[in-house]
Amino acid sequence: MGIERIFLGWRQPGLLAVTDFLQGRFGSAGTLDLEGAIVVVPGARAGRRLLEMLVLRAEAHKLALRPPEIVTLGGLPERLYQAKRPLAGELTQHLAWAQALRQCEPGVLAAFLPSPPAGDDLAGWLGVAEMLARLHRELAADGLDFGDVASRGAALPAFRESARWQALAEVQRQYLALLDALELWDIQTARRVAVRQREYRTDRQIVLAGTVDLNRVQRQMLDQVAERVTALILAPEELADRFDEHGCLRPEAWESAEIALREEQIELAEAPPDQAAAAVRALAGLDGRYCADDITLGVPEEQVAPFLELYLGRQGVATRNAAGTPMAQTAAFRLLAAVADYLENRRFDALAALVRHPDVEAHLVRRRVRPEYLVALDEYYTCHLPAAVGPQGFEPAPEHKTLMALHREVEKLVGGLAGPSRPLVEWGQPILDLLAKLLGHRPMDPAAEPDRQCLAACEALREAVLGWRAIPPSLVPPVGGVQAVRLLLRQVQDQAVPPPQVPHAIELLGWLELPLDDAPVLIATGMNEGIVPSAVRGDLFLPNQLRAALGLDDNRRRYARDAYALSVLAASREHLHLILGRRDAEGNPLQPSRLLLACGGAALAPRVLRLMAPGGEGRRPVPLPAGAPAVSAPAVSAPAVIARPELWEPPRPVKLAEPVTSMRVTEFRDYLACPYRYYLRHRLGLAALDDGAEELDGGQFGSLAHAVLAAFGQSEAASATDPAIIFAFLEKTLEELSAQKFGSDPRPVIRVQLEQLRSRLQAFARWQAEWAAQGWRIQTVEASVAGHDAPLIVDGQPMYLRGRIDRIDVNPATGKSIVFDYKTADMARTPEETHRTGRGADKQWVDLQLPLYRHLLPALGIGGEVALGYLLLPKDTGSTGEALAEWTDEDLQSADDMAADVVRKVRREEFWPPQPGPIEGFDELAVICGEGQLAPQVKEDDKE
Amino acid sequence: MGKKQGRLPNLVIRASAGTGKTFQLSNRFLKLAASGEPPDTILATTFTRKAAGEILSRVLLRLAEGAMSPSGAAALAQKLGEPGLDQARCQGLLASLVRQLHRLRIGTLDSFFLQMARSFSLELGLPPGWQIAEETDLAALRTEAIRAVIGQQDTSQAAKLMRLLSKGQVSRSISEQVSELVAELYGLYAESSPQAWEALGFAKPLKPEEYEQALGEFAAADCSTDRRLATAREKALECLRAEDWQAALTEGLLGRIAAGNTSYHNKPLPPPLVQAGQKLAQYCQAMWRNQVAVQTEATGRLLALFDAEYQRLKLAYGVLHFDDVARKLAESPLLARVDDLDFRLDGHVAHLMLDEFQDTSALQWRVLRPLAERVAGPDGRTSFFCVGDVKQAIYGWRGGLAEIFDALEKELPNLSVQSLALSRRSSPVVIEVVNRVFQDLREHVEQWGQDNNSECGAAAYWQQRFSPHQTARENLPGYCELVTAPAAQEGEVQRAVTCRYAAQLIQRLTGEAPECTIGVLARKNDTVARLIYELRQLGVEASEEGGTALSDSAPVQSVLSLLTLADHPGDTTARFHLAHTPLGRALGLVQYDDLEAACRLSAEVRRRLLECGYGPAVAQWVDRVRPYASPRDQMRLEQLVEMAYGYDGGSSLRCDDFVQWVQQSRVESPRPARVRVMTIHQAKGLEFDIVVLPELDVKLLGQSPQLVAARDGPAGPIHRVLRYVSKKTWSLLPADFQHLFEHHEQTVAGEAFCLLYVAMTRAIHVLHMVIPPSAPNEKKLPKTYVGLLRAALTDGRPLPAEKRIFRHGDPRWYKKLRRAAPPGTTAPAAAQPPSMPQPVALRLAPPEGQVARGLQRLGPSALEGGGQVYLPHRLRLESAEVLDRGTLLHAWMEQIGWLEDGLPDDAALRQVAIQLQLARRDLDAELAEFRSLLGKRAIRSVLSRATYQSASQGAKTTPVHATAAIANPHWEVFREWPFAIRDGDTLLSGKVDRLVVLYDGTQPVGADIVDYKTDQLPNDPGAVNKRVEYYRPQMEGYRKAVIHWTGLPAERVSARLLFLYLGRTVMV
Ligand code: SF4
Repeated sequence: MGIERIFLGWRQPGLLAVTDFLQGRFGSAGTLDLEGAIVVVPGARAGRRLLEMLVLRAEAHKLALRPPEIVTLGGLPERLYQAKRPLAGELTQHLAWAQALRQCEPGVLAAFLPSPPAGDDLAGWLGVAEMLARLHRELAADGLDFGDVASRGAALPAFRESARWQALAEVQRQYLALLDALELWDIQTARRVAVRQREYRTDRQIVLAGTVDLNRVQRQMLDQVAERVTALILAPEELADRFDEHGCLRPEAWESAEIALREEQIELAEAPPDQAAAAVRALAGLDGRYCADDITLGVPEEQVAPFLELYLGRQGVATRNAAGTPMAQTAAFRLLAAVADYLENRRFDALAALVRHPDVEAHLVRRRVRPEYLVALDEYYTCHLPAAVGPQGFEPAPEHKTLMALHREVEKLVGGLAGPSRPLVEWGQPILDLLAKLLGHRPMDPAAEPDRQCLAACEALREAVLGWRAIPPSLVPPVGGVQAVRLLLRQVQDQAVPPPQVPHAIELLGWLELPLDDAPVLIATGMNEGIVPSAVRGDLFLPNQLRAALGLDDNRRRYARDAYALSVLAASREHLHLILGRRDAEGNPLQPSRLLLACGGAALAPRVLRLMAPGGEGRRPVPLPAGAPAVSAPAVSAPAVIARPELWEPPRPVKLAEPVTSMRVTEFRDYLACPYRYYLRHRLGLAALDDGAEELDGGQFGSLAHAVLAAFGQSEAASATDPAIIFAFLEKTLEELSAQKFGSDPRPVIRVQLEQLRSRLQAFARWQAEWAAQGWRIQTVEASVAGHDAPLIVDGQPMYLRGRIDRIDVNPATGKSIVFDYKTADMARTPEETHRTGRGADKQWVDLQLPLYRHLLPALGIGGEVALGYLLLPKDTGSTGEALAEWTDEDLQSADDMAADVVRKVRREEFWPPQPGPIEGFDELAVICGEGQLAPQVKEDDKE
Repeated sequence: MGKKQGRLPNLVIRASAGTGKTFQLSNRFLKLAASGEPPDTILATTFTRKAAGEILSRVLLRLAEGAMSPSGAAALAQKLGEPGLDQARCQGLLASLVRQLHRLRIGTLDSFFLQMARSFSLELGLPPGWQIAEETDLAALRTEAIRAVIGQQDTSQAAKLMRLLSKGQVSRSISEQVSELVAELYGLYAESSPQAWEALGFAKPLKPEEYEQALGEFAAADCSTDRRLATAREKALECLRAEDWQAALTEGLLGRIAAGNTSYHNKPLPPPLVQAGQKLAQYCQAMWRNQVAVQTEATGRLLALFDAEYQRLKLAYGVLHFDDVARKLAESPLLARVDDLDFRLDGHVAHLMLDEFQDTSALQWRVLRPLAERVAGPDGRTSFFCVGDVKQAIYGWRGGLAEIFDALEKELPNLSVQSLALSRRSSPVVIEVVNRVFQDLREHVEQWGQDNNSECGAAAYWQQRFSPHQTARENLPGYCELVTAPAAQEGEVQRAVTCRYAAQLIQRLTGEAPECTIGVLARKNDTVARLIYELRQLGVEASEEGGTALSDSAPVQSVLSLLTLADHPGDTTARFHLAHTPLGRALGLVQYDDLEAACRLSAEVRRRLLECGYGPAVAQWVDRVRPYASPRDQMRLEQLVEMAYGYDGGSSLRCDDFVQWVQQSRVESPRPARVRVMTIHQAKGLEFDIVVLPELDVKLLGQSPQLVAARDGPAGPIHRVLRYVSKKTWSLLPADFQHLFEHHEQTVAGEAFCLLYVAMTRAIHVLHMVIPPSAPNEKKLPKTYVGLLRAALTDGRPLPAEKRIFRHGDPRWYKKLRRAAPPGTTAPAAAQPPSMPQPVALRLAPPEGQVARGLQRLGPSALEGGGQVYLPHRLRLESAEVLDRGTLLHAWMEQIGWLEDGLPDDAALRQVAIQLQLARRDLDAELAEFRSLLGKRAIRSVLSRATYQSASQGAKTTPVHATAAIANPHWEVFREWPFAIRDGDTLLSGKVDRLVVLYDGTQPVGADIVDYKTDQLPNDPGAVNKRVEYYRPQMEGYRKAVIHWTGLPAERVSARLLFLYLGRTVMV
């Protein structure tokens, strides 16, 4: 006897019809006893909902319910036969494939994998293994092995892959032999053997609820228990010829089937957010006739779903996205990933990321590391640019208590995963311990977020680790902790944590779950070609024509499934609205789904004209809540919109707590550039801090050079006239100072930069020798003036100048002195170039550093005629040497006037308004000053 | 030529701007489809997905129009030259195409290559699961690769290399310098052969002693006759001492001698000086050449190191760039067997249609060529078709090579060529001006005077490919003018003044023709920004094509500052900024110097990002600032939310990454403004009613590049590379290298002409060109677009400021607009304001009285412990062992009905273990233990029917034990008894281990629930009681279910825990 086929029609939602059927067949007075039944549903969600409906039905009809066993298709076979051997888990299978591949003759391998991974590249082999495992799974489900493909493919005209598939078959043989030797089976093999040996049997009733697409092994299995199988078909009896004897779709019958949709049911939107917005508007159009439980949103593709959640959330409407949260986004997953990154080679950036994980941070703070450790870490990085942590890099001095503690605690934390290679299974507990330590420091509530999600993620990780115990040791080489963690993450990365239960929420469902959903209202987005239906076009192993020839899932079957699904939806929903996008999130054009174009002759052309019409009007506005809040949950507050431009302007300077009585000579330049930025930088002390530097910046390069040159000026070599002596000193000092700062093994780029600096110092040594030979002597270096030693009297009041003069030279022969400032910028610019702009009479002071040095000199006890200048150490070493300012007394007087003017303004606290930017050298203040906001960036430097 | 039966000729269409390329492509496609070619054998490729989408919609739309009415069909039939195409056939064809939508191969070249690479990824050596990487990820890998390259080298070697790269200078920055080099040259490197970098080769200089001798002779030669000569010699010697070979050769005395001159200031040079000088010049030349060769080689070496590292990293991370895909394919032997590709690609390409052919790169053509050769072959059932315009080849720098287009006719057999010069876009006025500028291009360029060989060469080549344009839209009103801007005043930059003037003009135009779209096209991004700025100053809403970074909005920036602070609580600039915005206030950061608050906020922000994801977290912050934002800012905020949602997948633990991504991504406004400002490159493929060109004073040749290169044939690899050297030294190079430079200049000039052509031909009605006035000291026409336009459109005299120099057409053209313009040429919606969030009132019915769907699902065991979980307990693996044992014991216990009916044998129990995947354990020991447990009295008692029957024996502990009142009691045992009931908003479902129901006849009168427990407990009442309490909620759940099912009163249902190891039952 064959399978019993029953057509339930499609006027009502499928599960409702299934419930009716089950009640009718299994119900009796007072009871609904389904214990003897297995109900097979196409998806897990339908299964859960069916149980719910049965319970409610039993309740409503006052029936005592014995629930059936509800399984998805994938779970059915093992209910019907007994596997004679333990089944290999997924990871075991993958490892066995990897082993089989590695054992392969090179010649065999070359036939399909001309450039195999390196021998010890476990991840590389696993990558290939997973690919073959997938292939094996799919073919085996239809009762085929790789050898079958080689032989059956040969019948196809363009097939030139026999050799390749034969090689693959060889690997497959080895794979099976490996499992066999380990006395294991994989599940596909077990099922196929059971088919072959006619082992499927049951004394229960099997009810197929809307499973319209079965693979070959599933069909064979059902045939063996056919007399106990009832296939419920959610379609009217008139369409019986579109279904085969298993209740499955006949693809050819659906190919040109019309799908009855009304024009107004189809809406064209622009980008993914617009699809979501259109859905919200469509919901608004329902005018309160339905409640959240009556509504399902279809989201065949993931780009739209988040916006549905967002827009509905703003309306105060709860949603539940059945897709859940990808494992890879959970705190536990990220934590392990960050730990593995850090352990891999203890790079500084990995440490910086790890200690920014909030759970690590909380742990560190619990362990009494100071909560400001990120500041210390950024400062340390900026100063020393370490590449790695540990002996090679991050070696904070003992006075850096915070960082020492940080390092110690981090090492303690990850310590359990360090150490030599061990069998995989031995890493399980250390990994879980780490999670427990970081996430489990307090009791958790499995019913509340975020604990629920965290627990679920940990549970998944624990499950995976548990599975390791079943892996035959011969399949896994001993691994390090990092590898173990990566393996674990690889295992779970495609899983998702289910969403929390939210009562009275609008559900977001994937396409596959929609036909059996029972909500009267369905608004489906993403009705675009390639999404619904999807299609194969070319493949590494199974292109569509081969799939078709082998009877595997192919484009025709996909289309039939989706055409059927949409037909069900069109017939069974009170309200159906379909939304498609004109383009995806990246702005690429999308085509309408073929399903939407499956309409009869005359209707097609107008629909094509509508759905393919070029856009151009741009996107519609995003919906925000208006008026009365929606029901269900408290709405986000959406106060009446009031633009307040003044709130976004740079904040006005506030009165300083103390009057300014002292200024650095270098500050003047900043004031002249922009009083407001001056205020921010010097009066408020604002500074950027990050850890993004790749190499020494100009400032760091310069201060290192300065330090070396300062040491030189104080040394005996200072008076030498032999460049070799001078350079020897400089070189040695550079080595010492840089070792202090960057450790004995700085990152390579710094080593090269130091080498560059060395070259500049060499050029300097040559110049210095000659200079000394001309009779010049270094009189003072690093001469600091602070406190009240150098008053600049303006309007009778002193402004105390501060500063440090790099170097003062005298020529005893002439009695002349020169005040020098070292300049190590790449470009050699003279004092005139840096201090003044403009031409002729229009010259303007933009920097007053050198002229102001004159006012520091008395405090240093230096008098007489003093010249001002730079000592340049630029990238063009040919220009190394002195560059003296040639300012007249008049010039200098005007500089002093300018300085006085600045002093007055600073005293009056004239810090407003900011100069329009951008201004070179003030990048970090650009945001505060509103650059790039009020006006687009306009550079003034595009001079002809 | 002509039609063979059933086949269309191989055809190249050289289609000038606006002549309807898409139309031609759709024509061709429709013809093929109408003649019955299976549509999936037609491969049509273009360069952007947008263009591909347009071709596809054009095909379907035209067919749909034909299907709508007989007249529509007739019109289509006529256009296609397919007389048989009536409405019914159109309908049939449309239905068939639509049904095969998924098989149509109309797409980008990239996507076609991608499909190939995916189908052959193992053969191409690509790692499983590889992906096309995001630009930000690739940038990170490049940084990584550069680090590795620097690290690989010995330090002094690396420094030496760096100095070679910077022509002898010792720059501070290393990483930056290398990354700039890589950014500029890597694309070129990737297409070059290794030998290309050594192509120049080295010269052998004089031996040192010979050089010294020559130097001596040169210095000693008698120059006393002429003081000028003596100074010149001294200068030359100075250059030699400084080893500045180039200066020595190109300036002064040695230069003259090297060039063959034997006199100086009309006086003969002393022969010994000349002889020695010639030797020295030779020496200099060799040294100079070697320097250039070494520098070029060093650049190649560095790029090679980088390449190796970068490729390795990409492979390791399983990511590729589109260029890598093309490169892998081009280098693969697969291409030698194109026919073998068909199978995995799911289709045989019989007809190839290539769009924008001039933009095809050499690499791409190498991949396509075998396919093209196949379809162009004499087979008769296949065909080749391509359309393009060398005059619009503006992507030379990116690898697009117009030369391929020129070479095509030689490379492929039986190619017909068709030229289209009939514009379907522009007004006659625009077309006439275009013709005036380009048809005598060479003459115009020649007016520039000397030293313009390259430009003239390019102009000649260009002019050859230009045939005078006509337009099909003869009645379109139009206007064209060339005006000068005011001259810049002291302290002003002329370009800024010109832009401001152009902005004023645009403002006027928006008033005159409010319906029209205006495209403002500039050369450089900076100019685009300036124009936007100037337009906004005048209150003209203008959008920047491609958009700008969202950080142009202050409220967006406040969110970015929050994220910066989250990563760097010590950044006081971010803190200060945030504290002074509404967002800072809303989040409680008001004092910028409050480090503690900053650290707290930093931790909170990162936690929220981790727990909710970037999208929802950013959306929440945006909600806080929206009320204070202007409409434009609200729109930008909303776009930030969209970006944040798009980011979630790849988010790292560093907020910096997101901030950087936002700062570096350009986001367009959701609706284009009427005035769109963009670079000419961006304008390709677009059209506007009015085009304004405000930046015409750019040099034709622009800046010199770092390197010049040449290919081995139009599509061949780059086989010659040389560091750029200044023009005056070109003559010192071997001829083929001199040619390299000339060719380079010609290419650049040619591309510049293309750009101007593209810019001018974007106009439908009107073309406005704004140029600066002549400089006061102007002597000849500048070598810029201005110079070209002046040569073409004016008498060439110097130009005063603010004057209309040239005009053509009707300045009041817009008066005629309404009547003349066919519908659809202007964008009616373009004038709408930018979109911002808008209120929508969403009402739902209250859920009163309804049971929520998606009931909370609980198994009673989830009730254990009353809702608190200690993660460290859960994560102990030992407890998992225990759990497994528990599972096994449960399963075995389930095998037992009544003890009296017999026990399962070992084989059956083993099979149970196998089914449960627990067979690997030490089964013998487990079995022995199980058997011993079954010996315990309490356990036997629970399992035994007799216990229930023998009420008199004092075991009367549950209501199920026989009562005298029942005449004919009988018991039924259920194992793994399933149930499902609703309890408020939860659905309680699960299985009861063992349920014994006592019946009076058919009427249940009592039930006894037994739950097996495998806890390892000490046998003391305290511990047991604690455990019992722990399990109580679960047992209550079971009891509810049984009551529900049996309808018994609560007191008739007992629940017992059976602690197996303890051998005890406890009533709950
Ligand atoms: S210089 Fe000292 S204080 Fe500054 S970051 Fe380095 S170790 Fe810390």
